[in-house]
Amino acid sequence: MSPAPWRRQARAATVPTPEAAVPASRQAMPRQTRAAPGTGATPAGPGPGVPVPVLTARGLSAGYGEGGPAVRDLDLDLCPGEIVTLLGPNGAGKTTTLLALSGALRPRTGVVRWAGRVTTAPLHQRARAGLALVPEDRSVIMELTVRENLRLGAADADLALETFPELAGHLDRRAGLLSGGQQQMVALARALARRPAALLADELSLGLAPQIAERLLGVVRAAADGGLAVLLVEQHVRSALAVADRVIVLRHGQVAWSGPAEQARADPDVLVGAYLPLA
Amino acid sequence: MGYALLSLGTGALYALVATGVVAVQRGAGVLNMAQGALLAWSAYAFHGAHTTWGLPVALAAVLAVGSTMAIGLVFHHLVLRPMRQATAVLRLMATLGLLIVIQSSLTLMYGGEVRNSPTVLPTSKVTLFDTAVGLDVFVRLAVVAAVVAGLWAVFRFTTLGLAATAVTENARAAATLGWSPDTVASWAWLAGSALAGLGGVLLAPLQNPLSAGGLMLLIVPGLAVALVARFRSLPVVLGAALALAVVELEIQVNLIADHPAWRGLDRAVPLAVIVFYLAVRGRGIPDRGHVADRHPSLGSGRVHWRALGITVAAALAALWWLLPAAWVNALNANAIWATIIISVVVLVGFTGQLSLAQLAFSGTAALIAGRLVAIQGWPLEAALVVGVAGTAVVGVLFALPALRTRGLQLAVVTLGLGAAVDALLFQRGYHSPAPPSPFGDLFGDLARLEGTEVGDTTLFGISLDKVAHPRGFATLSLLSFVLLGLIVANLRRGRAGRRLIAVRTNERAAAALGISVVGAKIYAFALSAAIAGFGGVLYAFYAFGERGNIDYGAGLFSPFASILLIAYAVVGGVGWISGAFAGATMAAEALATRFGAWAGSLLERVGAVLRVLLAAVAALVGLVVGRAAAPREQPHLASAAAAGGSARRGAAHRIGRLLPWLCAAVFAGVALALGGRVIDWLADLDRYVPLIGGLVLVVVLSRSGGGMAPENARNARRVLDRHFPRAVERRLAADGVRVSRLLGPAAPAAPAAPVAPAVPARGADLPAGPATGPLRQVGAVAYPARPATLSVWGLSVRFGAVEAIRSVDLRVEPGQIVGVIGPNGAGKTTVIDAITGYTSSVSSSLMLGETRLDRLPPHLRARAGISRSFQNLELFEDLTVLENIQAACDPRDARAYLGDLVFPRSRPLPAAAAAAVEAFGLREDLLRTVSELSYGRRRLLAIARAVATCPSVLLLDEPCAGLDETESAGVAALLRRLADHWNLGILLNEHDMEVVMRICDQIVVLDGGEVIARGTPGQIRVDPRVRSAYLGTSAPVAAAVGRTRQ
Repeated sequence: MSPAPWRRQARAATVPTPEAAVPASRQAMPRQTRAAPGTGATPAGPGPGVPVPVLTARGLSAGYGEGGPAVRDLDLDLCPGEIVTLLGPNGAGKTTTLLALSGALRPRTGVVRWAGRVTTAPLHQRARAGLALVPEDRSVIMELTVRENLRLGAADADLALETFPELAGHLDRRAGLLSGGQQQMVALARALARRPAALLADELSLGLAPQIAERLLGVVRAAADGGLAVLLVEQHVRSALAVADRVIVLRHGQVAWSGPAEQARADPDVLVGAYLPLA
Repeated sequence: MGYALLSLGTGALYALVATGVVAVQRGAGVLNMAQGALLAWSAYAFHGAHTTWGLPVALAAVLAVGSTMAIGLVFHHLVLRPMRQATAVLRLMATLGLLIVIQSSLTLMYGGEVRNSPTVLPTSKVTLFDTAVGLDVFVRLAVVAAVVAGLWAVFRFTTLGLAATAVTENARAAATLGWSPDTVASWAWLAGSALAGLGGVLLAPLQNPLSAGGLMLLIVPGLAVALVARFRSLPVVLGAALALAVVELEIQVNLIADHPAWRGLDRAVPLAVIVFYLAVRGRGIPDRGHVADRHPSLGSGRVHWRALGITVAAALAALWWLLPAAWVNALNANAIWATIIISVVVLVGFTGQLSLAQLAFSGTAALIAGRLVAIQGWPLEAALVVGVAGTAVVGVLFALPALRTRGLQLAVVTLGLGAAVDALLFQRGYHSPAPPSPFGDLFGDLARLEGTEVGDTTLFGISLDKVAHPRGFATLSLLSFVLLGLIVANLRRGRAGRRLIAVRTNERAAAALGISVVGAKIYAFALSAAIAGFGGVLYAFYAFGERGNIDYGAGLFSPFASILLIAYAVVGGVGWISGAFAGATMAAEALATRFGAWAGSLLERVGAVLRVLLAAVAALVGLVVGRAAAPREQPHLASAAAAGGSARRGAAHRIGRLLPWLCAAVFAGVALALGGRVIDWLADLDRYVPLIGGLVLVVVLSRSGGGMAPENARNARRVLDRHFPRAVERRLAADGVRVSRLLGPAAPAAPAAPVAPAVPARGADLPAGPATGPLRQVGAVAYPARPATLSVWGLSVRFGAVEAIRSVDLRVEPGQIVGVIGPNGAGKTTVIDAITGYTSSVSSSLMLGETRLDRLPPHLRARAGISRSFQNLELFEDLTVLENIQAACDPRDARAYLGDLVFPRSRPLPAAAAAAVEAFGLREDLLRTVSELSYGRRRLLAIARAVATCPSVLLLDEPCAGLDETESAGVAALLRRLADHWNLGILLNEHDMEVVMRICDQIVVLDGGEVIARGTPGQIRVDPRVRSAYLGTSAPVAAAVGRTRQ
C-alpha cells in the first residue's frame, strides 16, 4: 500500500502540534477568513516535542431539551497523533459528547478549547478551522454525486482517491446509489481530504460488514499515525480497542473507566464491569 | 395550437413564481407563501417609480427588483433567522405575515385607482398558426427560460448550489463541511426575491390592470408547479408551468366559452394538481423520525360564569344605551369575526390542522342560505340550518385530503381549495344574466341585474340590517358568539375535545391510546366548517343586509381573507376561545379599526393643542438631555482649570449653562415640525390596522408567544388574586372537589412499613412528593386486570431492501417481564413498532389472547389490549396530567362528538386509570400541565398513561432513558410490581443492563434484526454469544491494523 497521504502533511510539519496542523488545514479552505476568533490562531503552547492537545474539554455537561444532562462533568484531552475511543452502552452520552465538542450542541456548562483557545463557535466555523466530524447518520449528501460531495467539502479529490482507491469508479455516481460501506468511505474520505487537525467520528462501522469496518478503522489509524488527532465513538468494543491509544468508558454520562488501550486489550474484563454489567 | 401560444406568457409567469418558491425551499427550507405578494410588490413599485415618480423605465425596474430583494433579505434576517428552531408550519405562518404586510402596504399606497404596469417590451405582433401573438410573449419566455436555466446551472454546478442541496438534505452534514445553513438561506432568499422582483417587472404587465390580490394568488399555481417538480427539478418547473398554463387556457377556450356555467374551472386546475400530488402521496401516520411540533398554548375551556355574565351584561347595556351606531356596528363585526375565528380555534387550535380555507366555508354557507332565501323564498332560519349542514358536509370533503396530509402540505392543499372555491363558487357573478344552465336557478344565474336578492331578512325576528336596526343585529351576533363559545368550551373540557388535542399533539401517541385519528380529523373539519358557516351567513348579511342583496364575489370570502383570519386567530391566541374575540378586534370594521378612526378624528380635532403639548414635552426632554450632556463642574477640575486661565473656564461655563436650553429649543422645534406629520399619520390610524395586524403576527410568531389571550388570562388571574384573597382558596377548594369527584376521596396515608424494603428509595433530587409512595401502593390498589398472552411468531420487517428484523418469535405472558436487549440498530424499537402496528410487518402469527392483531390498524390494536410507551414520551404537553390520563382511558364512543358540545360530563375515572394515578403517586400533580413536571415525573406519567388504558400487555420503549441511577432503580421496581400485583405482561426494551438483569423473567437478545439468544437473566449473563454481540470480535481488525502499519 502506498504511504498514507497524511504522512506528507506530518513531514511538512515536523512537530505534530496544532500550530502546524491547523494552518495546514487552512490552506485548503479559502473561506477561512471568516472563522470565529479563537478557533484558529496560534496558541502559546509549550515547546516542541511536548504533545499539545488540539481539543480539550473541562467540566463539560450537555444534554437535550428539558431532560437531565446526557453528559456530566467530562474532562478530555485530544492530542495530535492519538486515537481516543469513547465506549459505553447505548444512551451513555457518547454521541452527546461528540456533538458538544464539535459545536453542534451547545454545552450547558464547561469549556471547550480548540488549539488552546476557548471556543463557542458553531459547528460550521469549527469545521472551517480544521475540525472534522463524521456524524452517526450517514452524512454523505445522497442527492449529489461522490465528486460533488468531495467538492462541497473543499476536499482534495486526489487525496480522497489515494485513501480509498475503490471509490475511483464511482466518482460520478449519486451517493444515494452506493452501498452503505461505500457511503461511509465517502464520508470518511471527505472528512480526511480536508486535511483536518482533529477527527471526531461517531459509529463509523454501524451496520457495516466487518471487513469494511476494519478497512475504515485501518484508514483512521493510518491518519492518526500521520499526526491527526482522533476521537472515535464505537459500539464494537474489540474493533475499537484494536486501533485505539486510549480508552474512555462512559456510563450514565460520566467517565466510568479510562486508561491506555493496551491495558484494556490485555484484559477486556476491566471494561466489562463498567460497560456490560452481566455479572 | 394557436391558443397554446397565447398561454406562453402566463406559463412563463407561473414558472418564475414556482422557481422562486423552489429556490427558497431548497436553500432556506421555508415554504414561502409570500412569493406572489413579493411579485405584486415589485409590480407596484415598478409602476409607482415610473408613473408616479417619473423615473426612467430602467431605473424604475432596478428600483423595483432591488426593493423586492431587500424585503426578502430583511425578512429572512429579522424574522426567519430567529425562528431557526421553530417548526416548518410556524415559519410558513411567518411568510403569511409577510404576505399580509405587503398586501396591506400595497392597499395603503396604491389602493383604489386602476393601475397599469409600464410596458418594457416590443408590442408588435407576429402571426403563427393563424394566431396573432405579441412579440413580447416570446421575449418574456426567453428571459424566463434563460433565468431558470441559469438558476439550474447555479444549483447544479456551483459549490453554493451544491451546498443548498446539502443543507436541505442534511444540515448537520453540511455544517461539518463548513457550510453555515444561514449563509445558504440568505442567498436563497436573495435569489427567490430577485425572481419575484423580475416577475413583477417583466411579467406583471400580462395581468394589467394590476391587482395585488390576483398577483398574490399566483402562489397557488406556483405551488402546484413546484409540487410537480418535487421542489427540486427546475427543468420540470419550466415544463410543468407551461403545461399548466396551456391546460388552463384550453379549458377557458374550449369549455367555458361555450358553457359559462363552468366558469372558474380553469382556476381549479392547480388545485387538482396539488390534491393529486399531496393527498395521493400522503401517509397515514408519521414516521419515527417525525419531530413532535410545539403547538400554541391552550385554554382550559373552563368558564368563569361570573366574569362572563358581568361582561355580557355590560356589553349589552352599552350596546343598547351607551354606544353610538358606528360603535355598535364595530362590536357587531367584532362578534361575527370572533364567531368565525372560533372555527379556527377548533380546527387549528385544538386539532392542529392548519387550514387556509376557513372563509370558503363561511362563503359556502352564506351562498346556500342566500340562494335558498332568494330563489325558494325560504325563511332564513331554515335556510341557515341547511346552509350550515351543507357546509359541514363540505368540511368533511375538505377533511379527506387532510387525512393523508398534515402541516405544510395541508396548508398548501387548503390554500388551493380556498382559491378554487372562490373561483368556482363566489366569482361567478350571480347577478349577471346568463345563458341557461343545467343547474337551474339555484346554481346558475338569476336573469336579473341585481345580486342574490334576499330583501329585508330577519333571523329569529331580528332584522339583519345594520343601518336600520344596528342594535338588534349586534345583540344577535354577540349572543350567538357567546353561545358558540360556550359550546366549544364544552368541547374543550369533554372527551371529544381531548381526542382532538391528542391528535394535534401527536398522531402516533393518539393512535397508541386507541383514538381514531381519521374520525377525529373528520369531526374537527365538519364542526369547524359548520361554525365558520354560521358566522359566514351573519357576515354576508352584515356586509350586504341593508342593501337587500348579496354579492359573493366582492372579496368577502377570498383566500386572502382566510389568511387574514388565521393571522387574527394567532394574534388573539389560537387555542383560546377568549382569544377569538381579542383577535377579531383587528378584523375589518371591527373594534380596532373603529378605535383607530375615533382616535384619528379626536387627534385631528385637538391637533393644534396636541402639537403645542408635544412641543412642550419635547422641550422638557431636551432640557433633561442637555443637563445630562453638559460638563459638570467638579472640584478637582475647577482647581485645575483655575491654573489654566479664567477665560477658557468662563467660556466652558457659559456653554455648559446654555446647553440645556439650547437642547430644549431644538427638541421643541423638531417636535413642532414633525408633530404635524405624526398627527396626520395618526389620523389615518384605522387604515393601518391590517398592516399592524400582519406586523403583530410576525412579531408574535418570531417571539413564539401564544398571542393575546394567554397573557390576558394570566393578568386577569393576577389582579383577581391580589384584590380578592379568597379567590385562591376558592380555586384550590374547587380543584380538590374536582379531583375527588373523579377519583374518589384521597386514600388514607399508606402504612408506614414499606412493602418492598429491598427497593432503594427514589432519588433525593426528585421533587418533594411520595418518594416511595408509588412502590408501596401498587400492592394496595385494586386493578381490574384483563390478563392475556401476547404471542408473536415469525415477525419480519423490511425497510426497502433492508430486512430490519427477521423472523422474531416472542411470548409475553401475564405477570411476566420480557426484556429485549441488543446493540444499537439491532431492531429493538422496530419490534415494538411492528407489534403495535406502526410499521407494516409480516408475521406467521400475531395474537393477543384469542385476538388476531396483524390485520388491525394501530388504534384498534391498542383497544384490543396492547399499550405502548415511546422513547421520547410523546405526552400531551399542553394538557394537565389528569387530561393525559383521561385521554388514555376515555371511552371511544362516537356519541361524545355531539353530546360533549352540550353537556361534557366528567365522569369518575375508570378503575384502571384511578389505580394508575394512585399507584404512580400522581394525585397531587393531577391538575398541573405536563410542561410543569420534572423529567422524572414525566417518565412516570408516560408509563401511567399506558397503564391507564387497562391493557393486557405493556410495551415499554426505553422507560429509563435519561434517568439517573436511583431514578432508574425506582422505575425498575415499579415495573416489577406492576407485573407481580396487577398481572400485567410487560415487553421491556431497555439499554440499562442493570435494570434488565434485575427485573426480567425472560430476556431476548437481538443482533442485526435476529434473535441470537434467549433465556433467563442467569443464562444470558454467561452466554458467550451475547458477549460477542456487544463486544464484537477482534481478530480481523487487529490483522487489518497490522497490515496498514507495515
